[in-house]
Amino acid sequence: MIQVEFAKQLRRIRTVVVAAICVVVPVLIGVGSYLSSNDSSGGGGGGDSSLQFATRHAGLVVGIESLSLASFLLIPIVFAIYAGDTVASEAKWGSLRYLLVRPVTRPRLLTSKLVVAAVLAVATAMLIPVVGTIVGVAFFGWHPIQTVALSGSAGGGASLGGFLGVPPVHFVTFSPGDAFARLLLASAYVLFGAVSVLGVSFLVGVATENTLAAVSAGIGVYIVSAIVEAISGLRSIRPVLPTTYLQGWSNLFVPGSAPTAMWHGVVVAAIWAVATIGLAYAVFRRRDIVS
Amino acid sequence: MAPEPVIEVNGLTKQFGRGKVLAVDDFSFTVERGQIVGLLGQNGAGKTTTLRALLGLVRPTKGELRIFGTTVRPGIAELSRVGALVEGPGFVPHLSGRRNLEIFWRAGGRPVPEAHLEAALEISGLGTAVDRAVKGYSHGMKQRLGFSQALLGSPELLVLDEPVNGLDPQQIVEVRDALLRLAADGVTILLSSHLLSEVEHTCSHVVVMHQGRLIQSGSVEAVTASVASAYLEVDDPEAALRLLGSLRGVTAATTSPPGIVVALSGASRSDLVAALVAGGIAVDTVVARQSLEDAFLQLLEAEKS
Repeated sequence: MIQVEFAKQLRRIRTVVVAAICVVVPVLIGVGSYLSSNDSSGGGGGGDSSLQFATRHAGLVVGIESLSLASFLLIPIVFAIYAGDTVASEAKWGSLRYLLVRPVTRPRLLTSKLVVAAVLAVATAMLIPVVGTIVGVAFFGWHPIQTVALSGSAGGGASLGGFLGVPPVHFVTFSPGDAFARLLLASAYVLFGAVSVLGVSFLVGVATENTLAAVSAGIGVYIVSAIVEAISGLRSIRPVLPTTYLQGWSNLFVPGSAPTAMWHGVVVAAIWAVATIGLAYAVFRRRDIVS
Repeated sequence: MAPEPVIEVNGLTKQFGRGKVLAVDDFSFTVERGQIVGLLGQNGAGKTTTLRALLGLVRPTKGELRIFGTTVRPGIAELSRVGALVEGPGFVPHLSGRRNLEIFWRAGGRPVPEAHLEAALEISGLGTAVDRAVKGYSHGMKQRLGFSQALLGSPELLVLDEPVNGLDPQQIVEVRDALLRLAADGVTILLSSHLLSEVEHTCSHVVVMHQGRLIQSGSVEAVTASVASAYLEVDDPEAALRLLGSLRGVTAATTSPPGIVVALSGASRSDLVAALVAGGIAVDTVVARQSLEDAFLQLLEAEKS
């Protein structure tokens, strides 16, 4: 069933378009970086990351910046499209009822859909840091990278960075192999965080059989979450929002900082995923299939 | 011991949402092995909902459905013995017809050789088009591929919703012949239709439903014999309609140029002639009619009154 599902999804134009975007974005970031390396003003504006690099003109930095830039919008869109469309498109084609009468039991159908959507979403989204690294290394070479660490900064998400008091800074160097391993771990963290989007889109797709509604709902979760994060009166619910710890991976490039934010982020994403996917199974079990 | 019915529907009731409209209302019928049963009704009568419930797609509000003696629930194993075509075919548009049938078959976990894919594709008559993407197919081509899909793996029961919808007259004849051949081989067939002629020419039995309820069921002969009608040609059709419409034992009277058709429930044809002659209307021709169409219209008329 999973094999069959792969055969069905891989040849879709949608799959090709999404993958192409995930290749073009890091290539553009790499080219931009390369062009800016020729003018003396240097980089500037490398995403919203709290991460500061001593130089932006290193191969691995392009990979890291690609991940950082994509984590807020492109990666959630990729996850929302794969998860939201998988059941809804089958309903739209009219083939859902035939699969169920084949018979494929409803939980088995959902599981194969979910597994294939998740695998494709992860594989596609991983193109972003991997292509970014390849492009960066092609332009700048496979060199150690240097990050700027604020002394005494431990943990802390995006909101903690600041110039108040101008704390002493020092530079930390990562060997290329170490930096690449950390980039892969950071990517895994960002992608795992996006399972909240995956779950919401999957649930709405199963419940409404409407692709557009499902994809919008998944992306909407990140957008609403980011807005709520910015409203100080709603501070109390920040810990359960899926975007609060999105930048938690930047700690990986700050030695000595505790990975608290990352653990918190993993737990929040897991709760969102279990709740939404569990609900999707419950809804689908009882649903009348009238598509 | 009598053989178990292939399909048993007992008191099926289905209400969608919280609305008061019942799509199906306390509906019961059985289908025995080897029968070709026509589920007959106008659009919106509840035919498709009944078929969906039978396939475990729609959960009954009340009542029970059984296929091969097993209570229907979503995804029960007995469904692998059923070939279905419900509310039009449904295919993955970017894959070829052949690939669609392969994928459909493999999803069920039975070995590929058991599907008899080539034989099923043969029946579709699509020729080389089976290797083109389905999105380029006409409605009729998809319908034929859907029919082939239903026949994969030699099912013992075929559930077909409006199987000749969108086909041209020659293809309708082909489908009809295919159904008769399958039935001769022992396949049980339940098909829904709003076309009386289709059911009359194909089916051995008929189940008539209207607004979700059972009107009548039985062999085609029994249902047509249960009602009678007459075709008359008279010199003043309008006067005849007025006169006969109020006659006892007459259910309905309508024009059917150049004559009129009268549905009977008690009155005989000689009663009609006597009444017309007494009313000063000259009768030219009287023909007994007992087609399923007459029976159907008469049953619906009786239901309304």
